[in-house]
Amino acid sequence: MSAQSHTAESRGLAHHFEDFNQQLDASTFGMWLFLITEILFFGGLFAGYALYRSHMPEGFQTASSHLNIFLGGFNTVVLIASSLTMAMAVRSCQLGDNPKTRNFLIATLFLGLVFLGVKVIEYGEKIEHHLVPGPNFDTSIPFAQGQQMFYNFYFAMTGMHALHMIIGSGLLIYFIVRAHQGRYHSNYFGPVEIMGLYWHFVDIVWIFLFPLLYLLGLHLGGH
Amino acid sequence: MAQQHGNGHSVQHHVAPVIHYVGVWLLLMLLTGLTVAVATVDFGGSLNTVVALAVAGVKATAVIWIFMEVRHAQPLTKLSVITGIFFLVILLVFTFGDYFGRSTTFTPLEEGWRSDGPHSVGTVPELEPKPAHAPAKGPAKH
Repeated sequence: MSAQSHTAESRGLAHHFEDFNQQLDASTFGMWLFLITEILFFGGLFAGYALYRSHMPEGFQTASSHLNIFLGGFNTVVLIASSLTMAMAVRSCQLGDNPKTRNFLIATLFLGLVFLGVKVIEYGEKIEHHLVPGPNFDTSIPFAQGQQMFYNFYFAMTGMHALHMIIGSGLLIYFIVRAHQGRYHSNYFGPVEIMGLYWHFVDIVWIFLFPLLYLLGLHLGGH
Repeated sequence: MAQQHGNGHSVQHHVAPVIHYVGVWLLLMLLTGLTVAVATVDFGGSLNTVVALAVAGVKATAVIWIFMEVRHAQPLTKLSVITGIFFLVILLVFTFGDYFGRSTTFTPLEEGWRSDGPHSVGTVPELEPKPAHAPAKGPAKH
């Protein structure tokens, strides 16, 4: 085995693994263990959101109807598209096509940056309107206490989500470089697949955030 | 599916056809439209949230099953996914069971955090607009 450790076929196989299957199984399991902690991390935020919303329903609904549904919906579409390009990048990598992998990863990164750019616009509007919780919060608005609590969760949840996007974007740059260097082949695509798991997870978090943050007041004609 | 060659060669893995991923993308787009559409309907009470979470749940399942390729994953990975969801359910059910099933006089807001003190669940009036200063601790203002 050690004689083959530098051949083209085994490039990317760590010495402590028997073969690529074992290596991929181990890293997939490791990534899912991490994702379990992520599920519980965001789960705690969702639980807190539900408790306070049940207590301050008017404030939450009023504040929710001030969020921009168009921008939120646009970002949802952007993130779903980025999941498609990510899945396509993983698929290309499984086929050993480095240039295609690189291009799909670049598309994913681009869509991720579009998402973050829209988020900057949204945050800017909230800062402008004094809707950031804290001493500058506009307490003259109706249900100010409940609205402030909504914005606490809004910024905590979308902020943590955006942080995951920023970290994911940084990781994407690394994998774009690696694919550009032609590091992957049809046996060695695990790292890109693991990257995909992370990216899709962040997408799932947004799938839940969008209706829970943006659409609360819609059926009451709040928009 | 996994073969133990011990030489780092010939991994057998499943490469899904492109149509699967495009199909999931289409489904997610349609369900996003549905998410917004059902949000405009008043189902009454908290049913709107239930419907929204149900649609989001279907979307998340599609992402996990197809995009994250759990359908072709080893049993250990499937067990990990189920474990994550299982503990999430424990977190939510136990938390809500406690908060909503205990005494009606309980409030998650600490006493004194609100300027008008603690209230019982369901009868909490929202505060009137007040001058711009930090929430005061202490006795009720009105």
